[in-house]
Amino acid sequence: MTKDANDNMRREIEAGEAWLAEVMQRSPAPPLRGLESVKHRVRIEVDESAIAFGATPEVRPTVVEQVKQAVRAELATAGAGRGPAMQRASWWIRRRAMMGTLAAAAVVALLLTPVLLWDSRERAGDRPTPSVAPTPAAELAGVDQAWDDFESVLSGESELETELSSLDTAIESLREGTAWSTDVFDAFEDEVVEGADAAA
Amino acid sequence: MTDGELAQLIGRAQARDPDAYDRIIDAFAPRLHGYLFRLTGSREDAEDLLQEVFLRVVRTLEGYEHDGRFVGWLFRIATNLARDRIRRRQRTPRTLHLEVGVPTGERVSWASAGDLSEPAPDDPLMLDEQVDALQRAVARLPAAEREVVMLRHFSGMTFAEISEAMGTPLGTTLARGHRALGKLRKWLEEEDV
Repeated sequence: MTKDANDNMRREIEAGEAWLAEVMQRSPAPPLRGLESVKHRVRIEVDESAIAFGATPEVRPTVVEQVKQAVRAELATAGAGRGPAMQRASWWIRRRAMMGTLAAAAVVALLLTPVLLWDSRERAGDRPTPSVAPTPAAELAGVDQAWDDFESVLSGESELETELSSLDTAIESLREGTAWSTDVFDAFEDEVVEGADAAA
Repeated sequence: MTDGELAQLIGRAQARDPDAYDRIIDAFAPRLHGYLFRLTGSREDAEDLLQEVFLRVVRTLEGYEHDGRFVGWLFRIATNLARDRIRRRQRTPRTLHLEVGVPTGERVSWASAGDLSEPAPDDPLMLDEQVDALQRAVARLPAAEREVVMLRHFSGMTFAEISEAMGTPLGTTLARGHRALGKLRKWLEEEDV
């Protein structure tokens, strides 16, 4: 394009732009609505980008109010029906529950003892060189006796000390029937006695 | 706003000062909105895109180095977003179309022809007709010519700056502007606007 043609085109463009500006003025674009909405959305974006770069966000007042209301509601719910009398009752229930748990643990330990001993005896039977031949009939009799004693404990016919004594007898009879180890029985016996003491 | 003031505002905005963004929005939103309205022909699209432009600014201003070409940078974001929107809209054409007698047989949608669903009740009827005629004429322009002539009007950039922003030679940009203005004048004179 020659310089003249270029200049000519520029002059025509300038004239055209002046004309368009006048038309645009007569025919404006519709007014912009929601400028505040744009600003609000941009502020949120700025906040989020600031958080992404490690800044601590400012807590919004509405959030603070919501948290306060939630805490108040929680306090109201927790406080309802929990006066001094209720709190005392609650303590009593907890104490009884704890004692019940201990007693139940002792009973379970007593019940499991013969089963575990029997199982131990069976395992001992797998050992290659027992020094004394096992006497299953005697063992079973001891276990039966222990079981009867525990049942009487459960039915409340006998005192715990008496039953522990029976248990001692049963354990002794089992010891006599086995020679592979006394350590297991000793440890077991200690556990049972400790559990019974705790329950008592 | 002087370039020094603008540079200061940009610096504050890069430090995520919300007030600086408010001032930038106040300064450029009206022109950007007019530009986006003329490109899309839809008030809703223009307002939606305006928000997108500033959100894009928030996300990308960190990497912007101010060298006196902030306006071009801003309008380039707006142009790209508007192009995407128009492209998406063309892929999902509206069912209602308005035949405007385009010689090439091009069909112009209601949305492209202007926001006719919400006429301003207080405006005189003549103004509505003029807006409609102008928008129809702008919509008939090829996209590249429409962008050049609207960028000139709303951004105030020189042809050289537009060339740089659009990545086209200066001669091409001048020719597009010249052709677009000639066509607009011809079409609007035919409609007696």
